[in-house]
Amino acid sequence: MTAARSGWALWGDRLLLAVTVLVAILWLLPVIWVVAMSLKPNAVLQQSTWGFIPMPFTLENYANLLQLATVPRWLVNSLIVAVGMTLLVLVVSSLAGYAFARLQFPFKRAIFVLMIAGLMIPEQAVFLPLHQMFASWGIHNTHAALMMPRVAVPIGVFLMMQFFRAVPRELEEAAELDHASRFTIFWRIMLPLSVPALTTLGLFTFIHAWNDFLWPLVSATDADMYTVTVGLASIQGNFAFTEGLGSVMASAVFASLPIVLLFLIFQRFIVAGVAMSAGK
Amino acid sequence: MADVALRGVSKSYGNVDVIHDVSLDVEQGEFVVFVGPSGCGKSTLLRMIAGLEEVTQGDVLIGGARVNDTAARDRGVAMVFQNYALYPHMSVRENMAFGLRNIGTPRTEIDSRIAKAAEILQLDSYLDRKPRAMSGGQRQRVAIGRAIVREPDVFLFDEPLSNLDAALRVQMRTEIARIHHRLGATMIYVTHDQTEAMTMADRIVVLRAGVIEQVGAPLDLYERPANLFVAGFLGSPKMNFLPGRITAAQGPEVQVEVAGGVRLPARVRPGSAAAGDTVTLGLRPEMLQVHPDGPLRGHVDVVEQLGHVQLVYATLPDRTAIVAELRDRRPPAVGTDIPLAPGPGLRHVFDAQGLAITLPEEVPA
Amino acid sequence: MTASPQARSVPLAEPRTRAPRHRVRRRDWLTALLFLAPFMAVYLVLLVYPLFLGIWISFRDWDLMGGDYGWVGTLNYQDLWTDRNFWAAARNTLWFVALTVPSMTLIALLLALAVHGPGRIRAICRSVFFLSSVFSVTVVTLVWAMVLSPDRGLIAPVVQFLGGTPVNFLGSPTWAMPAIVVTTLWWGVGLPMALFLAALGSIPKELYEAAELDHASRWSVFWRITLPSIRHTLILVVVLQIVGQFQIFGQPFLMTQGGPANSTRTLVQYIYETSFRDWLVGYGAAMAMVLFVLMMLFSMLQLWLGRQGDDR
Repeated sequence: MTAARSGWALWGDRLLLAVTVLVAILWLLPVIWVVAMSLKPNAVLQQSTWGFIPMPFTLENYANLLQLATVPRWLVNSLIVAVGMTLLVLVVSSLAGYAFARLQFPFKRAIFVLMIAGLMIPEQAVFLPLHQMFASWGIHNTHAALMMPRVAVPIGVFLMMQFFRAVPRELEEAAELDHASRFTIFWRIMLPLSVPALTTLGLFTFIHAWNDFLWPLVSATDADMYTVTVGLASIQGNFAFTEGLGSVMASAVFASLPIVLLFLIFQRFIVAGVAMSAGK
Repeated sequence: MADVALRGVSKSYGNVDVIHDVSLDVEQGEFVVFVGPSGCGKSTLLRMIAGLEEVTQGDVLIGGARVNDTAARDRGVAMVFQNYALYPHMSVRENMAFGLRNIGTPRTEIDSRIAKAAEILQLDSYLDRKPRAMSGGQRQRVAIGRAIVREPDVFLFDEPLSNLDAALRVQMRTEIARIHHRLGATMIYVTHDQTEAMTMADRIVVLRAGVIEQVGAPLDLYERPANLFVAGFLGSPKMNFLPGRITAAQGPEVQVEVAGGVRLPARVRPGSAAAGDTVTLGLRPEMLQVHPDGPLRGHVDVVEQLGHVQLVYATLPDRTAIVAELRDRRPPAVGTDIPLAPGPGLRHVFDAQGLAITLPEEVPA
Repeated sequence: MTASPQARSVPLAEPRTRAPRHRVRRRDWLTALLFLAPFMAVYLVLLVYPLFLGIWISFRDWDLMGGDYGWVGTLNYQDLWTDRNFWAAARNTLWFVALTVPSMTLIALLLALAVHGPGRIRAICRSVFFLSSVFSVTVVTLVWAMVLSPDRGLIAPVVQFLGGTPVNFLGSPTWAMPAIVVTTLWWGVGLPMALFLAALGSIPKELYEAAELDHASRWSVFWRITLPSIRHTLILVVVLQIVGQFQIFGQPFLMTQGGPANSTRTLVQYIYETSFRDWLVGYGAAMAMVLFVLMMLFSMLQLWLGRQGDDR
């Protein structure tokens, strides 16, 4: 801000900032602590869990984790499900979003209202019947079963529609005069333009998929088909908190690593996405 | 190249008529400008020719063939949009090539057409830039280039210069005129700016509220406006309109009483007016002069010094505002009264309906 | 007048008619259909159909293996009325929502106000507060179960240092729910904070500059300018929070398994247990419908209250 501030207000600003930083450090403390524990030998942790610096230091917990085979397997499952779900959501949502934004078809309003109504249906209202349906089709314990239900959620269509509507109409008209078919316009003009929106939607979908809990919990009953989120839950109980504490912490860090990296790289898209989903 | 014809074309959205029964012929190679105030339907009309708006009634013909049901892309037209509508993610070269690739034009052909267009528009050194990295004037050139490479039968321009600043607008104006001269293509150009219309057009089409008010060569419209609207729309500053009354009529010769008792002679079409008729006398600002015997007493309100001319805004005794374009380095002072006289030039007379009844005459050279 | 004096009249090439455009239109429909089909197929099969199937199942005696023992009318719903566990779960869920929504909204707003503005430090703080929401519920509960642990946690040593006795938060019927609320706040504050940040960022600077010229104090600037400007976001946040927090499941399921003394068993957990432990899918489906209706009612009430304010 350029406006001149009195000394009193300036100190108020600084004090506020200092308090904010302090809160931020406290906020992060549990994470630092868990990372520190994951890098300490189990024997040391049995004596005391206190301390934020991994001394003595060891990578043994992570080495054990990789030998265990289950955790890497869960990680691969999570990756397949999250990537697959993200791609499907992007394809399906951008196609339908474009239709709602720019194409004319009969009963458009009615279909749109039907879709928007879907935003009100929570996962909890449909997970039981979905479980029954998938069971009767015999497709539980597959990656497809884990990713499909969330592809049906209309929020992505809504976001893409909002984005496409903001693209100047003249751009499409110019392309139309340039002999582009509807699909060419969509593929060569609209999609390249919507990379920021697609990135945002993709990120949110990926994070959701990665962290999904209730559905994989009921759909994947075979330990080989667990996602990391469900897998971790399964070892939290029985993986003796006492002797294997370091390993448990290591698996938590390991499972969070991809998502945290993604967050750090694409932060600004997440912020943009929040602004977009707020509808303004 | 092709001619364009409109036959009783109408457009309505629901009950709202935006274009009403418009007929017009645009000849091959002609540069026609649609001009009118905003909301007059000029852009809608252009978009109907392009195929971007459906025609409610009537026919659009391009090259003699009815194209009402032909998709925009198959009409052989290219359009330059007000906001340029360049594909932001493509370079200048890709922008121009896009349309040609879509119809499977061979690579070498595309390259040579782009090279030619780039040369015409002096875009050679920008071909690999993205639109984002270009100025408004350059972007507009790319938009024109994109139309040129298509080698369309008809070029359509939708207010292409209104997003540019004044100086650039003048420059691009001459540039588009030059391109028209060089390509000799049929061009239809929409603008709300009468200066653009006057300077660029072979023929001007003046539109108001979805209806054609008058069609003709720029000077024809300027000298012989068919009605008050056209007379007021073309020319800057606007023509002065003096409400008056005919006091005597003999053949074409009439006396018009204006400004509370001043009688000025004028010529109307014989039989079009009789003594006692209410009329409007139209005097172009440039024909008014300060003259010691000037019958019109103007009280000077504002003086605008433009360098080569001075615009004097004055009020007549009957409170009619009037503007005179003087060529006098020492204009009258604000607050003084000046005697004004209509110099040589046509005195326009409009009847009570606003239609011109002026007797057309050859302008003395 | 319709035509201009100069417009030449040319004989019509074809009779003037209302142009038939069916051919063009039909192609448009087909294109739209192709664009819509993938989503609509998934949507109808995997969201709309299951919703109705769920309603249907809730009126039947249905077990986990798909065994259907016939229509039971509203029996499942009647059973709910007398099921003490259901009422306890509903109470716990409402208690959780009542604790979480206001505090989450307030904290999110305070954090947003604190980290809104220029500068690297604030940007880093923004990231920190948002970062915790990308973790999965399993990781979050693991971290907080440890933090809250009476013998190996982070809070206990501090309490001891200050001369108090460490509390076994998750083992206490009084403290277990508040502990879960704190965990949830840490986990979920990022999104509402980001929504507030977006709203704060869209308030025109001129408003603040005008207020400054009008000698407004910071306090009155906040109440007179900031808060009214972000009113709609405030309502949005509250609605999203209510809808979201009603669905609470993972935190208590993983941290306390619903205990101690059923003090943290929520509706979703009870639905899950009824269906997947007790195999009573019909009964579970009935509960799911009640939850669904409850969520709808609350979010509609909120939206309605928000609209009331608009009329003033």
